[in-house]
Amino acid sequence: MKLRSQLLKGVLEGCILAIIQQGPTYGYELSIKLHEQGLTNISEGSIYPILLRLQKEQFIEGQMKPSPSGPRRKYYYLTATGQEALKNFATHWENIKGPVDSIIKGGHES
Amino acid sequence: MKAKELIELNNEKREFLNEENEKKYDDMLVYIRLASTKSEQQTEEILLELLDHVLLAQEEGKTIHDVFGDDLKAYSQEVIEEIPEDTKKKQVKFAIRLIFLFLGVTSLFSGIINAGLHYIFGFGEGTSTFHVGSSIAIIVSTTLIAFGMVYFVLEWLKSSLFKEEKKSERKEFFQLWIIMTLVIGVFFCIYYFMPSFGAEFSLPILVFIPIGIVLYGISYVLKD
Repeated sequence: MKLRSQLLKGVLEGCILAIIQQGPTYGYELSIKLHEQGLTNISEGSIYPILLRLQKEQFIEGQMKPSPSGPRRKYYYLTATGQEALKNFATHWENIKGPVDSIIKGGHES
Repeated sequence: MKAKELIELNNEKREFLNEENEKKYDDMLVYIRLASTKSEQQTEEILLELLDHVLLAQEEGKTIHDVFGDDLKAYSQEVIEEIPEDTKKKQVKFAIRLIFLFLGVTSLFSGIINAGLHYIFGFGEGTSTFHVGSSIAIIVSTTLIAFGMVYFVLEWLKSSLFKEEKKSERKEFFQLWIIMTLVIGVFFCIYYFMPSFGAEFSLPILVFIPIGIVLYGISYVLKD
């Protein structure tokens, strides 16, 4: 699925920041983790434009490092600004999640 | 890692792609690299990441379309849009380098050809006469055309990517041949039909060889 919707892009940005916060991650690993969490309708490649944008905004930083399996990969780290952005995202999400849920469900019930 | 090392690593790793994936990844690579105003470092970093991803996916039996979707061109465009622009300083330096390169090569070859014609075959004269105004007009207009030509070739290359069936080679060659002939024709027209204006001066034709070498040398020094 293509990421046409801005909403999905924003949510995915938050999820990517959250996964990187748990530890340095490289691209392929990141897409696997998103899939494992159930975001299976997002194409694997869609993380790369987002990773580029997060780097531009200096929320994350990339570093070439040898991986446990040998070859060097680009691992992403969360920066201090990134921590802040993640915190903001979590707050926004918390504020919007409940109301959106109840509006949608309320709409169904009536 | 520097861009150059990343390119080498990319070349090595690309050999592990299967035929289908390699053909399509190559198109993406060329298309993304041709986005010329982008930072080379960032471009090569993301290209290597995309390649790593395809290689790992390939081990699991997936194709490049499973990773990047059906429309590889649209996906590449999405990636290009997010690659940071190169600094203005670097872009200007690159353009200046091309100008010196173009003028250097032109001067060197016209020097060698004219000197050869004159000293070996006895054609033409040992000195060339110029008019300052016309010379500047010729240099500026041919340089602009050369830039237009580079731009055209880049666009032409881009348009030939992501095709399921490649256009017939003979047809493509013929098209390119006609266009090149036209451009060379325009160069000659500018040279011959430019009216003479500005102060007149003469230079021995041999002088163009060292001038060409110096201009080429400057373009080489600008190469970081």
